Amino acid sequence: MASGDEPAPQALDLDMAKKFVVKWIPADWNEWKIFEIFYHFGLVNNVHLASFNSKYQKSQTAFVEMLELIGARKVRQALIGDTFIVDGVRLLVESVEENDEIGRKVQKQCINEKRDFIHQLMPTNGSQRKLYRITHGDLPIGKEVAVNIVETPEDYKEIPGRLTVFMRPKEVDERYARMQKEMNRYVRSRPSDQKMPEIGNHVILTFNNVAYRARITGKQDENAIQAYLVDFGKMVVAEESWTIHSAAYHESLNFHLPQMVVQCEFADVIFQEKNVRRVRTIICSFMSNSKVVFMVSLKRYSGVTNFIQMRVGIEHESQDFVSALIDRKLCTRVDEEDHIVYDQKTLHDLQKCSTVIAMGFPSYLKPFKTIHQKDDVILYD
Amino acid sequence: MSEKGAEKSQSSTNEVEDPENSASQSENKDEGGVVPPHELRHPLQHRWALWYLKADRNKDWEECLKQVAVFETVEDFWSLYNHIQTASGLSWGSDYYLFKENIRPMWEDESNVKGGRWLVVVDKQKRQQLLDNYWLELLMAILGEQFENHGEYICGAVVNVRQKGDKVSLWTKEAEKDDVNLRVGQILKAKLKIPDTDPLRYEVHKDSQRRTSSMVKPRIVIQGAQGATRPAKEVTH
Repeated sequence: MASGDEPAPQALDLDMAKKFVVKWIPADWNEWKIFEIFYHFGLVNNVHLASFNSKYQKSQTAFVEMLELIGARKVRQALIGDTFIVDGVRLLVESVEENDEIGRKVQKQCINEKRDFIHQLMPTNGSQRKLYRITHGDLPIGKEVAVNIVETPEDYKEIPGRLTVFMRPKEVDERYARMQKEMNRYVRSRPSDQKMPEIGNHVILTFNNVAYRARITGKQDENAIQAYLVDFGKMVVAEESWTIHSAAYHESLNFHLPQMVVQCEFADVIFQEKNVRRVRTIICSFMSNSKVVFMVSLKRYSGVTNFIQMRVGIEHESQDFVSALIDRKLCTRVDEEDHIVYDQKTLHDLQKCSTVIAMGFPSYLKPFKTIHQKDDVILYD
Repeated sequence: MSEKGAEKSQSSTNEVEDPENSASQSENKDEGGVVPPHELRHPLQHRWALWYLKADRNKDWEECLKQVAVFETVEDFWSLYNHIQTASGLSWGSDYYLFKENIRPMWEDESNVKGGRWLVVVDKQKRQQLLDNYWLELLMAILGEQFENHGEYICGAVVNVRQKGDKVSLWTKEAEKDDVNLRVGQILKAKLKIPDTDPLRYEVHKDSQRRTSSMVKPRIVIQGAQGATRPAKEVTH
């Protein structure tokens, strides 16, 4: 948006060079959709659907401003003539010139109209869109479900003495079916990201020509990434990826659904470290038998972990898995009622106990100078 | 329900790697003295993470948020608490968050997205007497699993240090579980000794995102026999 000051002529040219009027926009597209499209060329400073668009018109006009000239250049490079096609729709894209009537009209509206929702929802100053972290999956409460046991992600840090198993419900609800359809369309309708994603990012990638949501776990080499398919529980290597953003547009395509793979532990049982590997071997042997069915029910949540009971069934027989392990002395059941509770007095009594005093100043606090107690500042500032 | 006696790793399991977060809880003695091994300390029911936010207008909110420590024993909690600023000692715009491990202190986290919070607004005039006390009492209540059998619905606690009025809140997992949230709110009121004249509101996170806090319609209100009526569900003592 123009400031109140009169810009120098050269600055005005550069400013105008970043602005486009986009026409033939389908009536059902919103600013988010347009933002997404132009974001592929570079950072977008603003998108404004013109208010002179009438609901009776078949198409809309918008004003798009790229943040940087390089992005604007890429927009022009993508044009064939003065149009390009995205999602099967041909858009007319024109530079905003000073003598362009529509351009001046829309630009004036940008200055005059309040666009609070854009400032609230869009990144400020065209800064990079926030990456979206796909949330962990949960099993339903009060229902036994059939699951597949899937690969443990490579970036998962095992906790000694604890057995974590990753599972995927067999039944897929229709939201995920829609998400799959939208992902397949999405990857076919736009180029993949130019920049390689960072470890930990959530992306869409293609594997055997199908689109999947994944979390980046590593880099194979300059061109390939290692990733964990968060809805299927499989480690793959891929070359192309499309970052998942926090934008409402991606949410509308169901890209923000929780991942299907659920992180689980067996409830009310503890393992000795030496037995964890043995139990994993047993689970693997069941997994390799196609007749085996795993049925799990949720006991409770704890953070991202679902604590479960599991039955293993072959044909018409099934058995509680943990009970079978206990019979083989591979784990120990913990009393369900054994809940760790401390009242206020007990906690207060421990505040200055000898153990706490002996522990002294925690070394991990050193970088957090702003929150050091005053008497610690002298020692560690 | 119990993991008592289970050996827990002393290593940090932070999902987001941050060079500042060397959140190891193992032998961290900087003074002399023998520190009992981890196994002889008082274990907590859950592992908890303390986060700290220092407001910076030049950064995104998430960039300002840092995980300070993860701990799983009472002694490790006090070792941390005894060496950090109290809530009233923080600069304006700062926050502390204490959340169960792997629950990020933001409403978008999957453990929070369907949840809400019990909100305690601290009277500016009584800040010196109340703020630090409320915050510590709340921490002890959640660490000590004082919410009867509703502990699994507790996500974490937040203190917001603000010039216009500090806030202490308790986040729960499921906003629609009115019976659970109501009982949690009653216990909270008792633990913090909140007077009847100060109503306690339960707000759904999603509602709060759309409006400023003063305009959010609470889902539940707990108040004394005196005091204004409130919309939605109302409980009087």
